[in-house]
Amino acid sequence: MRWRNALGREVVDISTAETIGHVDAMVVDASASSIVGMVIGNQVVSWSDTGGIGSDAVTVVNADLIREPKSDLELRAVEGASDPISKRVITEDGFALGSIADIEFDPESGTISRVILGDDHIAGSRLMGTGSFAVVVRSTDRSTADGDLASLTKSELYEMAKASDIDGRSTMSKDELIAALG
Amino acid sequence: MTSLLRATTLIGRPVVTLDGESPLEIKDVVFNTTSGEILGFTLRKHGILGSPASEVLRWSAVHGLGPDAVVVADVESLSDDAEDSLGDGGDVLGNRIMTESGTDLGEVVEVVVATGRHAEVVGFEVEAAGGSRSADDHHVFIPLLDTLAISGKKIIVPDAATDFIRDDLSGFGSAVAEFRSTLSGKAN
Repeated sequence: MRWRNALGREVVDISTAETIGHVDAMVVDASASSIVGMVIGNQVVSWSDTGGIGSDAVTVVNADLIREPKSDLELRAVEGASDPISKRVITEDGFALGSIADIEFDPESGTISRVILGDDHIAGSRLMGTGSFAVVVRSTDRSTADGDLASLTKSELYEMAKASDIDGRSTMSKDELIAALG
Repeated sequence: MTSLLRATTLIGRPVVTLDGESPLEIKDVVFNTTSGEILGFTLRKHGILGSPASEVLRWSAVHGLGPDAVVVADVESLSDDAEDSLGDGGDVLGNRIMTESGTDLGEVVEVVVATGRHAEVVGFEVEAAGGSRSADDHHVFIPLLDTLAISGKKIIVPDAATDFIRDDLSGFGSAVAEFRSTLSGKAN
């Protein structure tokens, strides 16, 4: 599921069948690569207190689960400071990768699988922090420490291919670069 | 990713914390005038007219550094200038580079930094001494070693450094690596 599609989703209290509000924003725990809550007006609900994002609505068993923000992550999400959409992405070693078009996540668990940057994407596992200035992600070398080349952007793969002097790199697709480097 | 950049291109770059905030940006680069290394950065509020900040960023507190940002762990990584001054630092730009045997190679116009998680100064961009190369304003790149003499006016490099001078930044990275392995080979 995409972040942008989740916004505006109805939040329903199944004990009264009343609509409590709508998903106005979501709370990201970048270090866990997960969405951990939803913002409804000035209040929040923990992801674990919902069934995740249902196909038509978010359901809670009880309206009392919608509460004041407590943690720093929740407070920043309510203020809008940590909204990742349209934010620039910067690696921890100071390279800008582009800006965020959307975020792909598991609607049940909230785990972020991919961060979409225009026509490219990086793995959600690279997320380190989301702030008002930028979204910070792991460096190329740390992201590929376990051999996960698909977590990189095409331009990062191209730079790696250049460093290893791989022939024909300038005409390769992202998949071809991954195959050549793997 | 490691690439080379000129130290002064960091001026105006945002200082970004790992949680994605940017309290300040780089105002100036402060060098250790006796080693040629970077001591740290003075900071300012965002924008070319941003007022100077009282905090400074010491080199040791840099998490990672690249062409688009200087990354720090958090705001605690910035130190208060009053207690933790970069006062001993200065500029190495304008120094003349001379070989051990007394050849003047020119004047330092830029310091070259290797980016990444373990960023470091790797050499100097020098405006070649008149007549030694083709044009008067010819710029070349000279590798820096860990141990060299700097007086505040002159930087002395081993004669061997002249073999690794490059005309452009793109070929300079490998020249630095070669130069260092040559020197460590000699020491053994």
